[in-house]
Amino acid sequence: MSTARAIVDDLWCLLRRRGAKAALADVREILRRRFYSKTDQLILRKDLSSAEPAEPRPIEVAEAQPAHIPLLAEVNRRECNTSRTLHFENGLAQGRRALLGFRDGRLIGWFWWHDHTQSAYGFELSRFGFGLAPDEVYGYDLFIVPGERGQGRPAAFLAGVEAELAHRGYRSMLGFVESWNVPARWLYATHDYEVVLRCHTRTILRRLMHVDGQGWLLRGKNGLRPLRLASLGRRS
Amino acid sequence: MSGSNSSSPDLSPLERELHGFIVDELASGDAAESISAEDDLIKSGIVDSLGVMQLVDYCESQYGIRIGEIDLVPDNFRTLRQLADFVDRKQALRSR
Repeated sequence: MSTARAIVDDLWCLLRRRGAKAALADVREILRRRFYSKTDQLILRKDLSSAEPAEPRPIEVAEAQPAHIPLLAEVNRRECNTSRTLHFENGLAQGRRALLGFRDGRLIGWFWWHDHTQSAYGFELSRFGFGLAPDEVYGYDLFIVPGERGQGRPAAFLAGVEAELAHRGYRSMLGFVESWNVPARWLYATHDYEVVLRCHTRTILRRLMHVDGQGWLLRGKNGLRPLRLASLGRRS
Repeated sequence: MSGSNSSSPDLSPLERELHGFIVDELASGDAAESISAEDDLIKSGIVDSLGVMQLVDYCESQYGIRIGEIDLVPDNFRTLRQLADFVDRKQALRSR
């Protein structure tokens, strides 16, 4: 399935389930974010040296595999977000890594991550001047299935992810959270994530980004690089 | 279920109101009724990532305060006493 087809299917699904008004509001928000967005981002760091999963383990953590795609597709279909399944398929095919959380065999969420060996895919925090040491990991796009939010499940999944990464030899985890995302901020704030930097970011057409203190950056296949108008002129 | 008639004698009037909301909306089970002013609401899972949003909405509408991003730190929400102190401080700031 192509991305365009997936987007059309998702919109049709939204239209049927939530009505024209809600679907239009979603489309407007998606388009707005694609054209222009501005946000404060909090860069976080967590020391993993004492990370341990809750006992008894309420959430099992497993490395995402292509065999999990049907499970992921089922979750995404329920939310009218089949394009996210494509993103997952492509990500795994490119060698990206995610940890999945299971409660009584049911998928409850996922967390993408990479270490310094995979920074070629584009280390998001490079825009803020961060690098990854060999014993550091970058965690991103934590997602908890809506019906599984609350009751300590996101925290238990996060603890399981941290313990798994610590078990693999990583000593700390970096990540970021948008300042408007109160539930995620609270989850990290109450689980010993330290805010190491707060930065204001504006993004135009998802490719061009202005970061306070860093200037303009351009997103390419290999991540973000400083935008130099002179070099653009030479290319054209 | 209503926690607003809690028999906790050590709670201030504001703490009692907050206790009532927490027992009614956030906590569950018999243990919820016996929450003391110094119990850790975060550690016990009562004020989790969804609970904190409900608590913020309640405090803003009930006490006419505005809770901003910088206020969203665990030390303002960890115990009933800390929460009541925080609401007191915000109300005092508003009335200046």
